[in-house]
Amino acid sequence: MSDLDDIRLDGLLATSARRHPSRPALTARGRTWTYAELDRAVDGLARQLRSAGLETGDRVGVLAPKGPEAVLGIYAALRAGAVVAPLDVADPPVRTAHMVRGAGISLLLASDRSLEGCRRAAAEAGAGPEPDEGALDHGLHRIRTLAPADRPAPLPAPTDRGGYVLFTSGSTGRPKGVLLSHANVAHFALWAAAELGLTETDRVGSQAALTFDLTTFDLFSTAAAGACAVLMPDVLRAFPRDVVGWLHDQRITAFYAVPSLYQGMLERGGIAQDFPASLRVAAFAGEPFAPRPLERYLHLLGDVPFYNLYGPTETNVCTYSRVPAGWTADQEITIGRAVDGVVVVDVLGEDGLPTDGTGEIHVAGATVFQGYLQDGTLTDPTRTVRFRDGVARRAYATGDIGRITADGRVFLRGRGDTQVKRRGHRIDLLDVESAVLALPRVTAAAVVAKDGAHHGEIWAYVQGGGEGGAAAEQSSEDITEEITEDILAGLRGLLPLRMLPDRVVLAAALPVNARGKVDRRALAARTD
Amino acid sequence: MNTVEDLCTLISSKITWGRGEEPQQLRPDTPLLEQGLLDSLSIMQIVAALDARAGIVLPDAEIVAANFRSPQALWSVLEDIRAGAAR
Repeated sequence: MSDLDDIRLDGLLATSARRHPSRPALTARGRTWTYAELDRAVDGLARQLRSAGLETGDRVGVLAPKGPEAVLGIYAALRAGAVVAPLDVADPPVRTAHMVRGAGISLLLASDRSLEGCRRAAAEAGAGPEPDEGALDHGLHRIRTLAPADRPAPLPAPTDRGGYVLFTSGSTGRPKGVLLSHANVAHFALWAAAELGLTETDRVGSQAALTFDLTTFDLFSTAAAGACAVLMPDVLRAFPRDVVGWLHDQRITAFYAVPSLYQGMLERGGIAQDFPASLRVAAFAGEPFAPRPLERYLHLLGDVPFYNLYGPTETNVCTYSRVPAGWTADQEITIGRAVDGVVVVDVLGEDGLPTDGTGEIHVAGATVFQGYLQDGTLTDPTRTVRFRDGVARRAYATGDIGRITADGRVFLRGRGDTQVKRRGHRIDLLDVESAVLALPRVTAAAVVAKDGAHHGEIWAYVQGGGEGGAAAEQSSEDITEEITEDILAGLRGLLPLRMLPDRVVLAAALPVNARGKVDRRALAARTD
Repeated sequence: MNTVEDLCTLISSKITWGRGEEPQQLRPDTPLLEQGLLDSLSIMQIVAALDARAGIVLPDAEIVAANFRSPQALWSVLEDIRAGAAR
């Protein structure tokens, strides 16, 4: 136990409000809150939530576009003692409802703009025709999804007093809720604030969705340092040119994003011609950075530190490396060493023993999550593993394949399962496949990540799916197009845009390998 | 690509519509970004389709949120580009 184990995420905000009451804490939609103002607003909202019946350990979903309401809702629910799950307004209501039911969420918070969508998701989750609903301060609304008598019992300690849930793509077609304790996130947030040297004069640019683990840095490292979190409007995320303009306009000093966005800013955003002079530190995570663009960035950044952070949502960031200024594209890139004093990282071979060769990356320590919330239950996938120092620890097997050098640097070698990264988003191919198989008339399907010319794309090979009674005058080409469009339309109702397959291919039969299983490798290599 | 309606059709073909959503409901003033209809991939597909089907090359500096907030906003940019090319 360290003295950090009692730390609360909303406490980071309260501490900075005492230390720097008049410093800016949050800038969003043209308005700035000081630490004192933000903390007072959070206090008031937390009181409103308690008087509306929220009890310690209840699970609350925050379904609001990225903006002040979402941040206030998250902090207020944390302060009220809830386990808080940020949710994405762009997700189909069916998927949101899976999360609500699966994580035992009894209350949803919405902004004016997301209220309608929130009602749809609540209805889809079985909240009943007229759920208990009410307006809160600062443009927030609450909708009850479970009657007080029906809400689940609090989770085991330490999350009986609140926590944080981030949903990721699971292999069963239902999103998995990654349950983190206050301390799991706080250990990361404090380490990152210190390592990146954040101070109260920093302006931290927050570009990712609040459902993405990158934003725990934006919110909580920023609060720990007394810096200002500057929220980028959601609509700019798809426009690298706008992101560059926003970095300039908002005089961002610290920025954390996925390589896809950095590359977009380089290729289409004009960042090389007009580099934001205010930037003092930058970091990336979520997927490997292509070597050439990375080398370009190191030139552009000059003395500005550029960090490579690695870690699945389940462990927060667990290894890091400051990319050396002289690094060139012909060198291998490391995800760095374990975060000192917080986690221990090792690579284990198929025999379950530490190996100097290639194996699965295992993580143990203060930032490792509590377990998955799925189908209403908490499952802890960690197990006790003996690391190479002889100490047995509660460890999470990441599914990432890599090797570790004698001096502790880790090099990634891909995945051992069906999880892929596309444009920085973590997608389990089986999650997409489950959605395809849930469509009427689909009899078989295989969803694969393509090799070769279509590398990085996700294709769905589908058997069946047709209406059966296509009009006689239609050409087979027209019918094929109609069926694939119908499949995509069906998927649109089940999956977020970021998870849709790039292409749907109708197949009379799926190829099988010698063991009689669908030959995914053959499908991945096929050019059609 | 003679009218803003043609542009609506082109944009509509690059959106993955859900069941029960009517693609033809796209109107010149539909708030594309606010309604979350476009993502980075569909935006690049629209840019590519404008080039392939209408020979209009949208410069990088014009691929910004303000120009994609509605079909009408994008149509105004296309008209400006064509007027510039005709001059």
